[in-house]
Amino acid sequence: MRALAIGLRVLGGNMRLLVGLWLTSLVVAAPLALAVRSSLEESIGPSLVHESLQKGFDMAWHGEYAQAARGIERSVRPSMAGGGALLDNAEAWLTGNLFQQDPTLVGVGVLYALLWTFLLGGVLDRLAHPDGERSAGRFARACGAYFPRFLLLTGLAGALYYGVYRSAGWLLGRVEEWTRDVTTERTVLAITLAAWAAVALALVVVYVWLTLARVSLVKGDRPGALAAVWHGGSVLLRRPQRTLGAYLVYAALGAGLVSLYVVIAPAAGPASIAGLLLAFALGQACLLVKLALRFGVLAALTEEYGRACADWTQAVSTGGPGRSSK
Amino acid sequence: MRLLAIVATLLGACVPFAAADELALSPRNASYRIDVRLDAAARTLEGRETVTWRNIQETPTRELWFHLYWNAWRNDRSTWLLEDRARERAGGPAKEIRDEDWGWIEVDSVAFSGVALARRYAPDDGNPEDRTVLVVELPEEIAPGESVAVDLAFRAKIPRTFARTGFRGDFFFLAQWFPKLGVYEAGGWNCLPFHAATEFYSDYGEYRVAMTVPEGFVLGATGRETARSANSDGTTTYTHEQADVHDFAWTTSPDYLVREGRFEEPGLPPVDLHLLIQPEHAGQAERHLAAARAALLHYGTWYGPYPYGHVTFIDPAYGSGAGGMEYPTLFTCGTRLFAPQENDQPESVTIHEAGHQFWYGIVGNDEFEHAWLDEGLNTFSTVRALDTAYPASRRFVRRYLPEPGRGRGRGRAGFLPLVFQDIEVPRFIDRLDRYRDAAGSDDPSTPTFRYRPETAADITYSKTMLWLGTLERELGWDVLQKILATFFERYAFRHPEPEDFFAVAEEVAGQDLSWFFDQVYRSAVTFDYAVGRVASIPVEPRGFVEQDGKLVLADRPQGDDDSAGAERRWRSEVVVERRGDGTFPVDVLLVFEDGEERRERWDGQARHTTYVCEAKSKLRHAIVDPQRKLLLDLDRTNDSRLREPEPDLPATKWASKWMLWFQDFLVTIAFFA
Repeated sequence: MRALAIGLRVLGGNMRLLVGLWLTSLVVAAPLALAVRSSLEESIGPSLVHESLQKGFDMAWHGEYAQAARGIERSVRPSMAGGGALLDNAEAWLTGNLFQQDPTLVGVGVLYALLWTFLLGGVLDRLAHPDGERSAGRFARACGAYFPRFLLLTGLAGALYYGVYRSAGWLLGRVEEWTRDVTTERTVLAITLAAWAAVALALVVVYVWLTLARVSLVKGDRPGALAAVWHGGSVLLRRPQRTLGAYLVYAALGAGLVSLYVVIAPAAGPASIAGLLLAFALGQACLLVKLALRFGVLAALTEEYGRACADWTQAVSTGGPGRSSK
Repeated sequence: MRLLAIVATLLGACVPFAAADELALSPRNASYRIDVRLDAAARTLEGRETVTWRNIQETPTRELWFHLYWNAWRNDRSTWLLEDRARERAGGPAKEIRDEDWGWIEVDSVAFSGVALARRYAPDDGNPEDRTVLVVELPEEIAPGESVAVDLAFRAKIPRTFARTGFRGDFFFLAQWFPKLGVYEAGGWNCLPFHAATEFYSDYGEYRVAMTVPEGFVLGATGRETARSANSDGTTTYTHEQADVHDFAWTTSPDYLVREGRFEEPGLPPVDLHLLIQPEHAGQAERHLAAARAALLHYGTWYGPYPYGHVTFIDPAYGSGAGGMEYPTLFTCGTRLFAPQENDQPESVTIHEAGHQFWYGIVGNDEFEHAWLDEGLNTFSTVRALDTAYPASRRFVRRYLPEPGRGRGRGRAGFLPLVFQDIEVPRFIDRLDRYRDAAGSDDPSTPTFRYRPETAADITYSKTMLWLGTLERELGWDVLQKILATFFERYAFRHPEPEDFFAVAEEVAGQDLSWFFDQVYRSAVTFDYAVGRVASIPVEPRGFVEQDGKLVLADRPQGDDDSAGAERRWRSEVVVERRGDGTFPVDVLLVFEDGEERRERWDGQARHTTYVCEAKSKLRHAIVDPQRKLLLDLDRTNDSRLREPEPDLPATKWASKWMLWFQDFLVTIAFFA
């Protein structure tokens, strides 16, 4: 709950930043969305499919479209409607299939991730120094100052995530081995769920670890990226419940958000311009909340890092444990 | 000859297990008495069988040809596995086969009256390493009308499931498990090696099979249980008997729950329903029973009654790969732990496999060469029965939380379903999508076993379903139903050929349909009609016109809209094109802005045709084949054309949904930053 409170507090003071991050996703996605729109327009042409697609979805048309689809057109599918969009990505995150999309989309995604890496310096600087100057200039300077080291950490993260996904492949292979003669789906589901949970946890551990390393850099405790990695790891190991717990609280909120969106978001509808705008706004609001949750995680981890440092300082001053790591 | 005549006489005097007063529905010329024992721990079978065969052809033979289907999985040089590997590789890396997964069947002896008979493997497909056909040489010719009985002893290792047959844990599904005769036809023995793209073909007969399994195992099998005995060695022997069938399959597992039901409808014979279901699916038992009843009702009403009085259906173990297969008086369906009602599982597979009791079980066509005759007719019937008995199908994906080892690449399956309630999916659409990808791959008249393995099912199931649907829409259901019912009645318990079906169709329809069958069956032509152009212009001419013998400039029409008043008339023009090679008569519907509709009929022969008409208002749109009779049309989108394309709201709508997905994709990928 403390993590939540921290997130809400920090969020309140950084709404513009949050909206900026959301707008970034909008700006990056818009040109490709226009390309998709153009492709759809061309495919629908002057046909009456126009009416069926306005009212709902036309599976007959989609079969034709999918057969002729090239490049990013292949990502147009009925399951991206409504909550399916978020579920598709959540599943792809878990399985690593995010990187098996069309190369253009992955390329843009990687560029976006690099942009995020760049912006993260400013975001963490603001979170780590809540009482500091809150100008755009300082934000930009922080982005620039931390980017090279953050980039190094992103590279390291990439290697670690790759390792997690490779291990996931191995683990799922073992699950297949263990369940070869299991005849009940319930049992296989439970084992598979446990395996995927382990994969998710491993991804989260890497994320939390390297986020703590970044916070360490921003806080100025460790000037070098590798030292920060070591330091971030120490914080994670000493406060696993607090740090991972903070992430998991937000992950649970995210799961709730996605579930809610799955229930309320129109899948194939609506048919009117007003309805379309409303559906778009609902989707964007969901995305904004998702970003806010991500923001909350960063705030909570920054706070936890600060507390860990404070504890160590106190331990050092009282001669207790922790001396060696500070 | 004398010896065999004696045998024939003896056989006639003591028909082994058919009740003498029972009216035979079929020739019953290939009958089996089998004793088999399952060693569940070793996963082996050991059996003895007596095969009684009567020559019902007009030529003699001195050979008996047997299928040894399980040798398809003896090693990776069999015809079946060579073809299956090719098919799998087309969709990604082939599934690994481990040492324990292989299966085989060995015939230890074949004897006639105690005298061993010579035998040899007889692959006739150029693959000398295939061991799925065994030829037994008889000491004398079997003349037409004569019978012979031979005794075989065999052993088999049960494979991990291939082609719906095998084991998973202590679940066993055992099909094509015994040495089974091919079909002796006018041209000789029809006993092809086991091919990956085909199923089975056998003569009708009487079966009496005693199956010994470990105590506590529940057993389901073709036929009715006629005896059960507990043995002193901790096993139980179940005996099942059935006449007028052409195969025998069985299953056993300690886990099955048994649920009984009954089908009773006025005008149709009652049927006992015997369901073996997995405990975790017990809550879905009624859905299975209801689907089986729906199949028996609709197929029975449309085509003819189900004559056996009982049917056993199996919900196989998870991951066993045994689901969705038909055997006489027994079939496997299959469901999942989470099976939303909006999806057709288990209803679709249950109706389809129950339907095979009619198309395959009763009408026993050669599935090696003409698989479309049962699979296609049955797929069409399944879709029709589902549409009749169940609400519209909804878009459904089962992808979330991927399953280990189930499906590869984009076909990877998941545990968790998601139903898109507002996306309706006409049931034929899935078939059309499959056919579209395979449209040119094979002429359906090619023997099925020669189809390209990776597209064989699309031609066999989907194309046939689509052309039957087209025929229904063209001739009317009443006519098509009569065609199918006549075909069913005429060829029940026989082995019809495609030409038999076409002859019945033309006879009942009262017209020459060869133009249609030539295209959909004897060729791989594709169909695509399109509205190429629509336009409306004022009737009043522009430019110079004759008036009082002089050329004068016509009054300029007042604008292009309808504001000029009720007197204004419009000349509309519609160009309809045939873009595919196939031809089919189609309607062309012209819809005007004031709601008026005009319908034209085009024989669809030329490459294009133009309709010109005058009306009080401008044309709004034109549609070729407005009732969608031609289900084989590969591009439905170009079948219609608006004169003035409306604002592009649909493209914006779906692009905005895509945009949200992609924004979320970006935010998700940023996790890794």
